[in-house]
Amino acid sequence: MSRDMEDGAKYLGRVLMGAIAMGVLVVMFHPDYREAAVALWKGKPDTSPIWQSNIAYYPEVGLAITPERRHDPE
Amino acid sequence: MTRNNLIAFCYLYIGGILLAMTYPVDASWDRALLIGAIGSFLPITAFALAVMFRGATLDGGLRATLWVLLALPALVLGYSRYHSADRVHDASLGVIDFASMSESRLSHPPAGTSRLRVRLLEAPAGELVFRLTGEADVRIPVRDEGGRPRLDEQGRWLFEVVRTPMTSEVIRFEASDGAGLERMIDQPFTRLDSVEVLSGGASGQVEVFQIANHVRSFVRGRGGQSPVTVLGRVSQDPRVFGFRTVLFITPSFIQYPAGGPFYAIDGGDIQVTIQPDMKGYAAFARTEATGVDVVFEGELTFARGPSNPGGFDAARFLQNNNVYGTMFLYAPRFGPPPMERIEAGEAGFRGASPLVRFSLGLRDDVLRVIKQTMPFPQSAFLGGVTLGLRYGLQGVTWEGGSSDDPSADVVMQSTIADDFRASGVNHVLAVSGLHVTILTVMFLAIFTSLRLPKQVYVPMVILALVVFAIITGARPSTLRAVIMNSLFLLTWAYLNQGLRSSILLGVPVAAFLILVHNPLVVVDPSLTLSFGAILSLALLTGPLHDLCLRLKGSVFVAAVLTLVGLSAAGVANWFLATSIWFLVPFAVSAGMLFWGATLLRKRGNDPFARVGFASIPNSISTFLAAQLAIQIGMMIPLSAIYFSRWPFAGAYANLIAIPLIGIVVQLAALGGLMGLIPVVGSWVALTMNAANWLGASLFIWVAHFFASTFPYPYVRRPTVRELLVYYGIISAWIWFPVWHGRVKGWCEARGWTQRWAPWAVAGIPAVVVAGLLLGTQEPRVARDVAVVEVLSVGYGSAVHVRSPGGRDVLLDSGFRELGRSRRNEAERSVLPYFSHVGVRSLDAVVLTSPALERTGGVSYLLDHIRADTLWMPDGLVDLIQTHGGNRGFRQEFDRDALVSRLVADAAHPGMRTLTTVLQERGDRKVNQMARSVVAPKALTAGAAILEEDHGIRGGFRIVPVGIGAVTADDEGNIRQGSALRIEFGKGSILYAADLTTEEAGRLPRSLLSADVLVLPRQALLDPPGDPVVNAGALEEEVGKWIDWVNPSVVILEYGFPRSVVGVRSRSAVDRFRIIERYFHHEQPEIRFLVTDQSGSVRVTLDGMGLAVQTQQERNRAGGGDADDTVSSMAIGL
Repeated sequence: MSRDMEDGAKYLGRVLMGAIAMGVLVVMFHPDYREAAVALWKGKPDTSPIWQSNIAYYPEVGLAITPERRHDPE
Repeated sequence: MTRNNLIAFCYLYIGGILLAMTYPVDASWDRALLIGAIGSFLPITAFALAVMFRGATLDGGLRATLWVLLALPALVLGYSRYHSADRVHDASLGVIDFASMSESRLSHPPAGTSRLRVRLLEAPAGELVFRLTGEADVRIPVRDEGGRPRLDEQGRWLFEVVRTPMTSEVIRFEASDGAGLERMIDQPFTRLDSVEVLSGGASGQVEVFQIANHVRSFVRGRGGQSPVTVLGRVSQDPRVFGFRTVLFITPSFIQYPAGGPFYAIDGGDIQVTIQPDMKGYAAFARTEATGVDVVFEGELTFARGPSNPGGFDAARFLQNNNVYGTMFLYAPRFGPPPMERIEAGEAGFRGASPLVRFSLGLRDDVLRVIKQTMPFPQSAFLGGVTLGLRYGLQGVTWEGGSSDDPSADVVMQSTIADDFRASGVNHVLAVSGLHVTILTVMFLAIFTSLRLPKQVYVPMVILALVVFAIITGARPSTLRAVIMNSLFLLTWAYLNQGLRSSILLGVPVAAFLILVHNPLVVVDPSLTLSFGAILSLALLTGPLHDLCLRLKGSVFVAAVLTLVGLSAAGVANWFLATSIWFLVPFAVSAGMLFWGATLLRKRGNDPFARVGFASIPNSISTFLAAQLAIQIGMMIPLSAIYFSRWPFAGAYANLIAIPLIGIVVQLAALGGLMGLIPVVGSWVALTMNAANWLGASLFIWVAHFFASTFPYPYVRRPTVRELLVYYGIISAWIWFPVWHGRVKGWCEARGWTQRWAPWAVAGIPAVVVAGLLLGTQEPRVARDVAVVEVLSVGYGSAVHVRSPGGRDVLLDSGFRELGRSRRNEAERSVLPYFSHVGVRSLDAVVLTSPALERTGGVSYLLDHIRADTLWMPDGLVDLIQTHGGNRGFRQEFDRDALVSRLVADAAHPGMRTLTTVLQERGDRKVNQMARSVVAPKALTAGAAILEEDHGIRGGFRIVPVGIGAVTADDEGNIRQGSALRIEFGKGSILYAADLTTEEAGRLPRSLLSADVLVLPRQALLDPPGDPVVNAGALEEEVGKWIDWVNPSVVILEYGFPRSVVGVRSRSAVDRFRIIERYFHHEQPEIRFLVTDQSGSVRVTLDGMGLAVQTQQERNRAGGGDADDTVSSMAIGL
């Protein structure tokens, strides 16, 4: 079992490294990811097209945690 | 207790629950069951002590005794646990014997303040009139300056309690009243002092009950009920949708009715739906609302049972999750919002427990990382599979469009949720064993790489799994997996046990723990599908793998060819693959193929001698066997039970989906956690999720591809008995070596050495039992009578007619909406109903009018069920014959939605219209073999659709009696009405469809006269012209129908009309109310039934007369909720 676990750790490491290598390629060639990286670099993650595409998806989870972020109808 | 005893105990406990479901008992058994549950442990305890002190070894008779003594408490415990969880029990306070008042035994004072009811045990000789007197502790909330109830710092609601003398209303029983008659007492009592006899009192006995202060006791049917005020606490993470939020609230106190007393609540939760226009909405539509104390006011109603036979039982579903009441809160124009948060004194707002708060906070943090690093809709997919946030995928198409936009081409695309269901990969969204195991392996790998001893890190992994369970909503499937994985980890770390032994123990123990907590989830699909999958994997994979290993050489090739051939036929034409005219020749061909392959192998000149199942790498062949095991053990039977459908594509799609999801979930979990590391974490998460974007996109595409390529057929829903026989056969196969060996030994001991002897000895009783189980089932639809089921399909029509000769006809196919909700009644109601009643082909489908609420679902319906003939009004036939196939046709009836749904649509050329379906189902060879030819025919007055002679009972026939003229209204919609008569002997039904009153007036009265009238909906509720409603004219029009038809029962197929009649819906609602009022006030002797309220209506004609039963009545007979859970309690103090 321990041997399996060690093999599992090595496998996970390989998956991780492979994913990062693949991810770098995607960031280089996928325009949205490229712009997302630029936005992250500039410290403006809210301008990232990836973040923008997710605006309507679970909108209560925003970039910064503010308790009363939404505008309530008065 | 040995390991096997423990496993047996857990399974027998489940057996006890199943017994309680099958053979329930009433509340009078409460005490006996409680005593039984406790008492049943005494013999086994005494036995264990005796064995221990005497040092006896367990063998022979002692072992058998142990099993019997073990079975008893397990069964009784399971039975009593389900019994107590399934029902809300009112406590008996004692009996009042009026013949001897001194012997009255009101021995038990009410526990707290509650309402009472009295039940007549023995009828009085004459009139008996009395009332009860006592006291009530009336709670008055302490309020803040804003008038809101206050909490102390410990979170307790503050009340001033006033003890008030209380006298019940007058209770009256007559001599003619039967035992068991009950009277409710509206007033609350904390103490009962005396019985005041006002009249009679020389005889009679009544029992007094304290009504349980359970949420179920306060719910009412929908529609103008008195609002109640609830003081409670948000008990779960709110479910936030784009246009509403659903909160689950555990109430502490309910004020019932408005202005009445506050009752302390001792059970049940309330599901509250709020909308974004409510002031303060944002504070509730977020994770931080979990655990917050709230006060709210609204109409507390119960969820509906199934509307049609075999339909979704919302009431049962919610009750299984301890929800007994529902409330929709609407924002008032003025005044405070209907729900407000309350602070616990100086301590501020309370929240969830620290562990839950941490878990949900972690979930939001990971979700934030996903939203920053994965574009939509892949982000929604990732949120679903890693965090259990499956609601984000609703209404999203695979290219990222939203079904909220009806003008775009997305209306033509299936949603991701549809694709996942149809391709059989939906299980990845139900966070379960797959995800928990992936995470367990991932954590173990991480800790192993850190070189920590397993005894140290295993508790940490278990804690991480518990956090994961909380994050994903602690559904039964997740709990099952977490308990099993924790048991596995513990036995592995501290007892050095292996995986298989852990599964065999873990499955029943996990089931036991979940079902002790809540036995009602025993039928929850989340639980049964999860356990079905794990048991299939554990028990079936090995035997199937061994069986497949026998496939070698040409036999293996023959098996592959057979599988490919059958699958290809199914993909090309599902009707063909399920037609006996195809299956028999196919089976003969396959048999010859196998025979030839076997011959080749025997002769030793097999050209494929070197290939076989065994030549596939072991990991892959085991995976294939596991997939087959899941299909046979879980998907095929349970999918049919729960969803009436079988995802045919699942067997193939999962070969890609399961390995892929392993990578996607691991990367998502690692990326999400690493994204929490300040500064560098965002970059790592972006890179990892960029790679994962490929995996997520591929997964969504795979689901879409399989969903659009493979059929997703409706299948006959098996009964419980059929399921028992099915699993009996599978069990017999799995444990063949065990039972066969034993039976063989038994036979040999008697000198029966023939090879077939064990088969005969075991097989004959098994076949007899199976035959009895299947042969004595109640027929799904009554035989030798005509059954007309007017289905409840909202504002639309679908009526199933089963003739006494067993032929099936469907009148109209329900509405289909392409917009936001994509409501399709053929998919949602009609086809599941047919699956439930076992109808797989129809003799005829009749469209009585071109109205969309009657025709909208027809193309979908014909895509999924065989129908020999399609009868249509001539206006529709002309339209299809003239313009069918011309996909650019958008001129003459440009604004008519009917044209675009049924004939052709230039905006959506790929849309399956009735024209497309009829072209595909033409009289061709392949359709003849598939028995799927649909012959269109025009409805003409007098031409019988179905006719049967039943001798002395008379004839049965369905015949059109009136066909209206083709007209177009101001909006360009084609209208044409027709009416049908359904007759059997002396009973008759007039299905007036959309025939106008004027057209009906021209028909002979003899054709119109009937026992049951199904009202013409379009003519009365949505007539062309001015939408302004003239109540007098409408009542006069309905009155004409009543005069002509003279029915004893009138049915109106009615539901919320907005989706069908659009802006004219207000007028339709007004008209409906006028008609409803007319029948209540002007025609009280006529039984007026509305499908929206009563559910489907079944009319049974036996030739001599007819009987009418509604689905609501069937729900009540089956133990469901009635409208009058607590009878009319209109007054309080």
